[in-house]
Amino acid sequence: MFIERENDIQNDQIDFLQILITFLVVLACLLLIVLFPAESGFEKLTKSIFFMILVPVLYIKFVLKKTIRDFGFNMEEKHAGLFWGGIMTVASLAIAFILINYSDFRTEYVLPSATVNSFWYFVAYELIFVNFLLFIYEFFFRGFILFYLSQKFKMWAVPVQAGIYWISLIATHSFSWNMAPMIILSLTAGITAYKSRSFIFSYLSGLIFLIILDAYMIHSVR
Amino acid sequence: MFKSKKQNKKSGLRNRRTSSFGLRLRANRKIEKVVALMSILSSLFFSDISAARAIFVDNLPTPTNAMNQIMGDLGVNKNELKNSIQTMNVARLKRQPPQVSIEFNPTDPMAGQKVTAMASPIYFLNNPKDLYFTWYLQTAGCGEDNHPGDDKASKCDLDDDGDVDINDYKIKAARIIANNGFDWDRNGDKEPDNDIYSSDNDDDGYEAVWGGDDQKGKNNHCFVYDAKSGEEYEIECDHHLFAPDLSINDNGDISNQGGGADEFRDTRTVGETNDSFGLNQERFWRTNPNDPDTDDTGNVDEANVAGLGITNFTWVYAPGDKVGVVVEGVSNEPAQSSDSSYKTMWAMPNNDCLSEEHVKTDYPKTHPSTTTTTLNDDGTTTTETTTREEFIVDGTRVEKIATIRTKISTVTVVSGTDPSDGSPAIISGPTTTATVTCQPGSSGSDMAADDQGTLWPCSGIDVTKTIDAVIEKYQYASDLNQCLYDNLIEPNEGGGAAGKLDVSLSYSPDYPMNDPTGEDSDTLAIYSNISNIEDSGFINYTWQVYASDEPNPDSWGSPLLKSELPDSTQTSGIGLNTFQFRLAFSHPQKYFRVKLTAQENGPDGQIREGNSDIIIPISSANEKIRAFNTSVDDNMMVDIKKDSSTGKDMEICREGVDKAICSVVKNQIIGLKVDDSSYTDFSWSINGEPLNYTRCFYKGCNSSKQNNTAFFPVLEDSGYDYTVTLSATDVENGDKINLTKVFEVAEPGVKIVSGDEKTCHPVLLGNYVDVDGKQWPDYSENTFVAASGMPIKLTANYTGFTPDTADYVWYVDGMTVTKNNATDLGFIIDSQNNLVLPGKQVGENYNVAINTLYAPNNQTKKALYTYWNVPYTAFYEKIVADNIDIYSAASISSNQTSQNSTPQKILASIYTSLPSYLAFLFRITLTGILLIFVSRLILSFFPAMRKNEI
Repeated sequence: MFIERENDIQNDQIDFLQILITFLVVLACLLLIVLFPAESGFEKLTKSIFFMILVPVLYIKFVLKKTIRDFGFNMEEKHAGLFWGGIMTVASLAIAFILINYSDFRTEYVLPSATVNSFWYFVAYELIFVNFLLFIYEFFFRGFILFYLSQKFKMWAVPVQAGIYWISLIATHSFSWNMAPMIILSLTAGITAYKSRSFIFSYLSGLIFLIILDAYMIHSVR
Repeated sequence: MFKSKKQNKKSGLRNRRTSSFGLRLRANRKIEKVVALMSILSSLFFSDISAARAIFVDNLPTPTNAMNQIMGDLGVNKNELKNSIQTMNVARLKRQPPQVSIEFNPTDPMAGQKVTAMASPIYFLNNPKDLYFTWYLQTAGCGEDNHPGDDKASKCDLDDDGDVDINDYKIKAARIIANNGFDWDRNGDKEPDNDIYSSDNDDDGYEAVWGGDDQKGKNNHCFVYDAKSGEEYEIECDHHLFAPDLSINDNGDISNQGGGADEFRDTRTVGETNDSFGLNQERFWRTNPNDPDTDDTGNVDEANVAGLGITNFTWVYAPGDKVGVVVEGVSNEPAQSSDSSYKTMWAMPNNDCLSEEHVKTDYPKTHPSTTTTTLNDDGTTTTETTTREEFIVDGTRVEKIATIRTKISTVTVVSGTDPSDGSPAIISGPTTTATVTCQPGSSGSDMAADDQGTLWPCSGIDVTKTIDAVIEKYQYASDLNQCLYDNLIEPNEGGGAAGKLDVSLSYSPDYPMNDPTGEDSDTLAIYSNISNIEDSGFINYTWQVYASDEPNPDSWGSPLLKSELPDSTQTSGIGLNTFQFRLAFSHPQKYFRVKLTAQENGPDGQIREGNSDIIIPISSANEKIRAFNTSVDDNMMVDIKKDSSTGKDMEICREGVDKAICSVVKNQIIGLKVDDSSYTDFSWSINGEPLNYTRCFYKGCNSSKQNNTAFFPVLEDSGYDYTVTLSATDVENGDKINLTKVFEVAEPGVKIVSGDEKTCHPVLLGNYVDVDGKQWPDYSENTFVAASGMPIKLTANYTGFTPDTADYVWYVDGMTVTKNNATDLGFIIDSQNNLVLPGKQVGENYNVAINTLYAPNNQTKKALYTYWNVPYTAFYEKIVADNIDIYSAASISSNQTSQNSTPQKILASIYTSLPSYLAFLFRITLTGILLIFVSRLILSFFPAMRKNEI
């Protein structure tokens, strides 16, 4: 009896340590994204991929000894994914609608001028730049952080990962109306990912949301 | 002869019967001789029997026929004569009556502004100084009113007669004229001050003369003119049309010096008697009682009130003011009375006082009809009702004489019994037939029109009658006052000169040139001028530009957007009296229409607007003036210099900054050339002066005509600008083209620059920041950085001149590098004389220098001396040189090579930045591995970790 209790205490200590180490790794990744010296655009892109995808993948693989399927890179819960993805897309659009009509979002949200004037540039912008950055964010915050934290904090992992995202925005002075769609997604996509056990659905619903939002904003300014 | 014999026989018988037969026989013999003589003469004169028949046999011997025959013999065209006589008949109606026109200055007065109305009388016999100008001013809110309210009456009823009429307007104007700013109300009670009008010491009475001041002593005959018919009707000269003769008596009441103040025929006007212009009148007219000529016109006060010679009238304008003038004088035409008088007449601006409707006659007349009833054989009756109407034939009345035409109409009705019921009935009719009288000379088969314009056959000849014509409305001169209301003019009425801004446009240059590349494109400037404003700074201008390939299309379509006009100035705003944009259109249309709408907002919400447009033909040419170095051969012929190594023409200023403003140095001869042979009529000029030569000195020169090549010497000092302009005509479409190239005289110099900025470029010292926050890089001139291991290509850029490649040498680290020894030293000097150095290791450096001597060669000096009289003492030589230090670095920043990214440049950029990127990847990989390793290492101390599973 005494031995079992001692093991539980030890396991709790190990869990805490692992969580701490993981948190430090997350923090290190976020800091390195900002602080690691990079001059050219290529280097900055490489930096983002490296610290938000590669390092988490390596950490999952070699430290946590898991597979990335365990961290949401799967589509096993299709029904839940489609259901919650749809619900959260609508919810995201509803929040965006409120922001557009009752805040400065309409005037402060900036899109590249070329997307307003060229449909093909808009398509390229959404499917390359937005798509790519969204995937990186989804992988890191929903895939890596949310699914790790959900082991311990269950549903509370959703606001925690969103909070980490918000804090990182504030710390890097990036908290602006232009990031409002991503801030909305940090919650709605978190719920989708948690419910469907996959960040693929949250990524897809987020992409649809961003395309609809940007298309509407372009439509409203033309 | 036969008669003579018979008479002789009778005479012989009588002789035998009487004792006095001897005398009778002698008389009969004389008669026989006369008759015989006449017979002989007749046979001589009328030997041509046909001529005699023509007069006495073929044509009846009527006067008309005889006259026609004679006129025909004389070659007179009867129709022309008739036409001339008809013209003479109406010539009296074509004369010009006295007229007057009014002009305003300013033409568009604003509220509170002084405006002068200037009357210009014509067709008067008098000089203007002897005419009477009766001005009248209807101020705003003082319209004609028989029952004005108290406020209006106090303001407008100046003669205090209970209504507002033309007399009040005359008083208003006459006071302004006669008063001339005299301060009559010093105590401010709006009434003439008693202390001013306490005594009248001047003698300023005036008696007006009918027909003008120069018609004294003549009888007066007044006439009024009907502008439509040209008739003049005599009316009675009762009163002038001057302002009424009013005064303020001692009780402060206004009294008329003659009769009633309201009925014009009873109202005596000023100047009608030679009474003195007394104190009470001075008080009424606000004139200075101690100054006989308050207005300083040279006339006494009463004459000024009467308007003698007052051609101009000035008042302070308020919107709604109307002004008029009626001018009295004598016309050029004398009266028909047997005296020295001429016709006294009045001229008004609108000249429509009398019209035909005021002249009444008793025509057309309809005479009582007559009816005749005839019983027909079939039992029916025919009833004929005949009516005779007389009317004046249009345009034939001359005063009281007119051509009268008669129309006789007969209405025929046949009546009988209705066979069905036996009741009376009309069998046929009524049937109307009519005839009219016709012009003299018409035949019975001609037709003429009745007064309704219906044509009827002729039955007789028109007659000329004296008719009774009465002018109903105007019988007295004073009746003409009724016309004055219709002759009020508002300075800005009709929105003409007053409501409209008079806008005109001009543009520069005269032949604007479009250049799609923008290098030689003209800046088209359109200048506006608005003549009827005082300050263009307060005008709102709106400029619009349209384009078309036709000069006068049905529609110019929509105006071009400002974004479509390169470098355009503001298109709308205050004070934009000039608009300009650059002609750098890729596909220009041949004509631009520039439209300006100008708007002025005045006080009281007055808005005046005007617009104007101008069509501007645009020339477009892709050709450029090319500039070349020159050489002079032994024969003193100037030619374009060829590079000794390439054999090509040494063109200068082909690219970079020099392409826009070409730097040249003093004592150079510059060659100019336009390659395109599709132009003709070349005309070269420098700074506006034609480029002329006293003699030909180059190949292809034509002493009488310029061609596509020209040469000019650079004779001015550093800083001077030469603007070379070529005008030519397109052979195909006749378009004028103007090409321009600007040359700036500079000191000769040389700069070493990188020939390949991917591998070597100047060190970036920092950035300038302009007022828009835009950054402009500041590069070092002497310190360069090169990528280690990469070849370095250097080029010499010369300012003002381009030496032959053989004329300058490179120095690297103190060693002279020529084409001959370059390879031995490990360097390369290519065909363009660019120096290529091998790359060095990081931290190593090169010192590179170049120098050459600038000096005009002797042949050039001779040419300048010979052709342009440049003395030999004016030439100079100068060593030009430059040197730089090049430091090798591991990589050079890509942000300086990112401009104009082409695929090659992108690849080159990747290539040059690859080492640093690999280093970056190495660093980030190490960082990632370290992160993973550390975290793994920490957790490896806790073997139970494996138990934690998801």
